[in-house]
Amino acid sequence: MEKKIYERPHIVRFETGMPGKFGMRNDLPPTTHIDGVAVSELVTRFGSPLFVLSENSIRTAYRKLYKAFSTRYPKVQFAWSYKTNYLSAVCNIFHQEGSWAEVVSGFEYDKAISNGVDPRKIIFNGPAKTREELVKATENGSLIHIDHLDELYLLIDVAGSVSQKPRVAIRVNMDTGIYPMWDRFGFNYENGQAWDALNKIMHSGKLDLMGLHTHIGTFIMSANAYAVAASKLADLARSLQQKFNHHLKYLDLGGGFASKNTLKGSYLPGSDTNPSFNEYAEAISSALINSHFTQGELPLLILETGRALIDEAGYILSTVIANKRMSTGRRATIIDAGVSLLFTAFWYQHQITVAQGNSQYREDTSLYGPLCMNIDCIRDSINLPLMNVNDHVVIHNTGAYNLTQWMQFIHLRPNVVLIDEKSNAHIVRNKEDQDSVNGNEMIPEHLAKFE
Amino acid sequence: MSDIIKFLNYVFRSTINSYTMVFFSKNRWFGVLLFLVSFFDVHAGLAGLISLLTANLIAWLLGLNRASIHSGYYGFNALLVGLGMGVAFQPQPQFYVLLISIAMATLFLTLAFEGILGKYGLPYLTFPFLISLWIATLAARNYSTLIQGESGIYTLNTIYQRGGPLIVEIYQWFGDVSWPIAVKTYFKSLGAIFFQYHLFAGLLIATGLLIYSRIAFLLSILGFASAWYFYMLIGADMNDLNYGFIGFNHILTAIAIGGFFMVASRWSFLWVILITPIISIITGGFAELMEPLQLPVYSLPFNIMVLLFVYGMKFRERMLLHPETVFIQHFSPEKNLYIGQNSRQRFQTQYQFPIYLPFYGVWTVNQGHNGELTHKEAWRHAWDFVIAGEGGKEYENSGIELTDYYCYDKPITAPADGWIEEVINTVPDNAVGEVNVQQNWGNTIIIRHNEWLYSKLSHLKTGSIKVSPGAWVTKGQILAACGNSGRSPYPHLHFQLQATPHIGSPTLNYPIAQFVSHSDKKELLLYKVPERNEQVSNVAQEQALIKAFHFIPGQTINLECTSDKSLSETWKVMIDMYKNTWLEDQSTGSKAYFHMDGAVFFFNHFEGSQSSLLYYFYLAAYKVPLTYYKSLVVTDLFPSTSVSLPLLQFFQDLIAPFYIFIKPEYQLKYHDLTEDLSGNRVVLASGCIMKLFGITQTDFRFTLEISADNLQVMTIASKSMNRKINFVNSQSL
Repeated sequence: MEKKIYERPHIVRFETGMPGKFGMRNDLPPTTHIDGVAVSELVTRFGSPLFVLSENSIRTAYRKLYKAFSTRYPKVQFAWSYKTNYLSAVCNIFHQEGSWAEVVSGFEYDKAISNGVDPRKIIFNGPAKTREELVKATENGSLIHIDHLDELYLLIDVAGSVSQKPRVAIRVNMDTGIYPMWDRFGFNYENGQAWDALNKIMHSGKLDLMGLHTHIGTFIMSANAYAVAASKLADLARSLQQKFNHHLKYLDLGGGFASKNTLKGSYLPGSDTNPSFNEYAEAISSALINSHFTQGELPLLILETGRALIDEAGYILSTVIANKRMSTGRRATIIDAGVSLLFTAFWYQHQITVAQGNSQYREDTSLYGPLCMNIDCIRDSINLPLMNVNDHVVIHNTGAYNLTQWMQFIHLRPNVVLIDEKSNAHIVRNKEDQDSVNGNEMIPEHLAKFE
Repeated sequence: MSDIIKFLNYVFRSTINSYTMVFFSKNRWFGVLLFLVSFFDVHAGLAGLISLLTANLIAWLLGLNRASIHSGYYGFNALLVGLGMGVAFQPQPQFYVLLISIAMATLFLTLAFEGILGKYGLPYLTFPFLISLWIATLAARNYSTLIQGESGIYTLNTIYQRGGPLIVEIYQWFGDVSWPIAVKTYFKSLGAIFFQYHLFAGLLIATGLLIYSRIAFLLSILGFASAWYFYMLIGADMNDLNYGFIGFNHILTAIAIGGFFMVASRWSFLWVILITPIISIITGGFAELMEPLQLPVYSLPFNIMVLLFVYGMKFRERMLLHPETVFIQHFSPEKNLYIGQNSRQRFQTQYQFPIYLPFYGVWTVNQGHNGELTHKEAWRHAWDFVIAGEGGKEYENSGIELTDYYCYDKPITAPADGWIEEVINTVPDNAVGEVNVQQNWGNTIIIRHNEWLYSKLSHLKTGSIKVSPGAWVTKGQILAACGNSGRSPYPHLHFQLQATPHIGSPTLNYPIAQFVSHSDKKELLLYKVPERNEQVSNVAQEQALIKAFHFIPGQTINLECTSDKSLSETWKVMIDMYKNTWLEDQSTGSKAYFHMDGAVFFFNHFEGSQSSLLYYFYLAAYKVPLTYYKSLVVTDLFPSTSVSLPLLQFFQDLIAPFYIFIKPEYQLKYHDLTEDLSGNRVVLASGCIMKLFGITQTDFRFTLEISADNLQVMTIASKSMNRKINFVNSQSL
């Protein structure tokens, strides 16, 4: 007979509360395994806290999104948004699936090159490109997305000194009916800046105008916004055809698809309310197909989807350090993963499950991280079973941005593990040691010693 | 000046072809030999020549088809009539008046027979000759000024008179030679075709026949031998055969049926033997009938037999290859065999009108041709397509909502250009699991691609159809969305091709022109029928290849060898009124016929110099699918005649009806691709390899480099050659 799980005794006030339309409460089963590997085994082998990525989830998400578009539009190309997660192992999964690279800095650009990406399949975005970076990207034949007029002038200047013609697109911002309107990247559509910039490019004769790009925002909860954006880009493309007889090779609709995470303050879970891949794909494809382009001249559709492709593939495994009661009597649990690893905790109500069996009893809990900072709160209030010290929890949907925006703060950063399609776990980034932090430090001689 | 040369050349070719056409040939050397043979009797030869020139001239003046005159179609009957008349009558002015009139009559008879028999797709053979000569012979009996020829009666006298003592000696030597009687009769019979009933003429004609075609030569022996043995067996009068105006019927019939109208094969050879008695019966029967008129049957048995046989073959529904009818006449049994067989191997599944898959992305065949559910009987050649998710399921979530199905509401596109014939757009979508057997096809579009090919897309989403009848749609245009209407328990697309425009028409077994199968590894399939459970998508076409192989009539293409500047060629892209397109080398006149349907570029025929660069290009780009898939290998077969191996080829010709051992193979691999938004660079590697008994006889390796949407470089490598050819300033007109 199996040993019964011990639960410490507790007394809580019986609250019927106000039932929601979905009933009293929502019990999530424990997450004992990820892709067939036991959570306890992962923690034993690789330590706690631990970042876990699922190769299977990444590939499945990619294929699902690709299918959503490729069954609706004849030519579609994804470019992996490096800033979302630029672990080389992750990038290369996307490159294996056929993604190009979308980078926003010289560092990311070099990273894509060293990952082996064909430079002609790198899209160089971002508001801050140096002259040297532009020269390199031009010589390599990469696609440079111009963000502002100063960059345009710089690039025209660069074009004079380089044998190759820079291959460019401009970034266009526009009103797509959503709030807030993102107008800080690129040239505005409604006030004519974008058309003005395109004219400057065409008249300069020094740049090879390949396409148009827009990034309407992030975590866009309305698919229709993309339909508006696609038609506006198509309009610009038609104007170019009419005025200059210039046919664009591609339209780049950027990123911004929402993942299944739930934004803070949402009443319903994100998995129920956020648009599906099919909805985004339908909006964009039908807008382009119904535009003026004839069947043969439909441009390549490029998408820079990041978050929606990787969020669900990431987990943080963490261990309970302590339980305590707050002054109000509210329960609080301290775990060993804090906001320094989970930057997105500021935006999302991350789904969190326990990693071992539990009874039916639950209690509203505040979940704190291990940092000695007041802001280190993973969830203000979450209904969790009762846990003991050294029990494990699994934080879900952490694949996007956390592995690029995390910081070494107070604690060293842990291992990152990738579980492949055959359920083998591989370390894809080693945990940090003293040297990782101190190695780059220099101590002036007069500070080297003290009594 | 060149106009006159052109005209003289035209006269020369039409004259020579009139001689060779008697043997269904257009071989120049054979023609010269036949011409010589006809002049053994100078008077008869001259009469034949005058007669054929008269017929050709009048045909020209009447404005008849010049290609037909050039091919000798209007000359050969007149030639034979002239020869016959020349033998029968003495030369004198009145004779020539009669000759010219008879030649004209022969031409009109030729036209009449062409008109009557042509309707049935039948040849007129030598019927005009028969009628003309018979009528002329009968009529001449009343013309008192004409003097009967003596050449048939006092042979030696005539020969001496016309050829001198040397010819008499030659004639006598051949007369005394102690060859077996069968062999002598064979040669005499050959000579008799040109009214020269002696061995020497026969020997020359046999030589010409061998030069023209090994198969025809073999057939002439077969035809004669089977007749010989049949006469022996049946106990017929050997003199009939011996007297040569009978024997040649067997020879000509054997050539006509064994290799000219039918493709030479063991089946055609068998038929040559089987019909021997029939020819003999026709001969005997008609000889008796015409006895009272004292007219010889000449080539009547040959004419009747060939017509009967060729006509009879048209009624076949099965056994179409036993023997196979020649559809494209190359005027050579060898070419009819090699090119005909090669074309059948290459193009038997090649359809005139390419049809593509009617959707974007990868779909799965859920029910294929001869399906186990509903694709049966008259409707068996249809496909049901769905989209399968990861793990093969067709839906996500629980699968009880239509929207759970991956294919539901996905765009359906036109499989090819065409007119919308019929649209039904009002049948409601079923709930999952339910079927509507009253309106079983559901919402449907029928597209007319041409008068015999319609495509039908069914079970579409209610109200999703964006086109109306009469509209012109182009390939890939979105027409509707996949739905669940009609007899459809869950969303899927029903796709079929049919020959008639109705909803409910029976299906047509018609393949998809080009698609990628994703089931195991990616594989490009041409003109195949997607099978059940196969995952298929349309082919991503490679624009660089499409543009590079898009040759525009009038365009000139210049080539230059990098190592040897003197080796350069200029090709011109040509087109004729039958829409045949070819590349023509301006210096050698070599022609490489090509076909380009937007999916595949291929050559279907080459004629001309095998040392021209065009020949190597023909070998290198024999078949190029206009797409790029890394692991893809394309194979094909060349006709035996496309590599130059003279001695082997001679033996090959002799046994070709039974076994073909010269089988040059074509192979194409995609060597390298550099992708670039402004135009990809593609390198193709191909080869032409021929092995015999494990020994490599021919081994050419080529690469073709395409960039900036143009052919740039061709390399040729073989044991004896290593060349790099640049395509320079290819310009369109």
